[in-house]
Amino acid sequence: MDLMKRIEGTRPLGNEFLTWLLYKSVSGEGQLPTEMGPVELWFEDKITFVSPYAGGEVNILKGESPAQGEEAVTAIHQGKQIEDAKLSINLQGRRWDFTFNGPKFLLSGIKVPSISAETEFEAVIDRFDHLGTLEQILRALYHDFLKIRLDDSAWKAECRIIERFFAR
Amino acid sequence: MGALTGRMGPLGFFVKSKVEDWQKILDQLTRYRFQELDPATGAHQSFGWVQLHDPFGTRFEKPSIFFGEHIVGLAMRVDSISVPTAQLKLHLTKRVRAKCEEEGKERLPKAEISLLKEDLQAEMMRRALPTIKVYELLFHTETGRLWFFGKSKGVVQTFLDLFYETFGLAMVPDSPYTAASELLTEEETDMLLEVEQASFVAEYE
Repeated sequence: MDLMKRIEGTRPLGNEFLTWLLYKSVSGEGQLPTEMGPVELWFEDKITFVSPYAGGEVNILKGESPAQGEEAVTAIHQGKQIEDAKLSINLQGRRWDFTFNGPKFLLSGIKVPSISAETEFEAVIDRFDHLGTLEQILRALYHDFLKIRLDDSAWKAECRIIERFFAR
Repeated sequence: MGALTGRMGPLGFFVKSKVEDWQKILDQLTRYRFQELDPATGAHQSFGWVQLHDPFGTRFEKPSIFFGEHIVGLAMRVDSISVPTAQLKLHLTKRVRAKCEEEGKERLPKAEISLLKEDLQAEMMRRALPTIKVYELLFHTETGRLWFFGKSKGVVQTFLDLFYETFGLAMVPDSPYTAASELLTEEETDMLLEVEQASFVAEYE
């Protein structure tokens, strides 16, 4: 199978990852363990849910803490998964705000922690480092997700837990 | 959404091999450097490499492209000239009217209007200032991670072609699959192609 077919065929993993992250964030009160240490991750004021079926309905939830709201629960009960969301991450006092599109694995609107560089040269290095750290955090979380996702029984159990959590 | 200030919105790629001869790359950057649009050629667009911090800087040496030991920073500059259709139409009407008066005609043949239009367009292009757009690129030469700070389809394709011509290296775009392939074994990555789409509603009992 050529690479483009592999890429296109596995895009729904990005929706699943974001939906799993929502559960992890809400159930863990924003605290997530990673191989880089504990990170705080929370969903901000915009979440886009889509139905995984062709021509599926789109719900854009906006406002204060939509992740905690009834509409998010309803969307998940309707079988919808997250397409993109505004997120914030805090690692050891450093904060990143950004939008993440799951199926495209695309970051945008990234606000990195403030930098103290004195020259343009240092600023480039600092901003690249911050971008790299954000990516490392997301990859650590994605790796945790993939480990469960590839274990059939563990994944079924995880789906059951998520379903019960949002049915509460 | 640039690399240097403000919020960032990059496209991520993985470059699949390493640069072996940086002198050759510096030569290639010079070869594919940005060159000013020459209106006499009739070209509407010009693109090429410039220095990360200077859209007019086209001298490439290791100190001007390396930020630290492994980060390469560059920018792709794209200049384009366009003549606003409405303005072209207005000026053309004026010219056609003047020509009719000069030749004592009521109207001009279509072919002649077409020639007038071509001349006028070339003249307006010579007088117009090009629009300058700069898209940054950050590339970690050890990890192969590359961020490109442009998103429109046409710009990305221009960048992909230019990068390949210059560096001779292929790269793959970010996606759930390519990110997974950086984290899992080949066998595990292949398993992802077989997984059924998950459902978080009670239908898997």
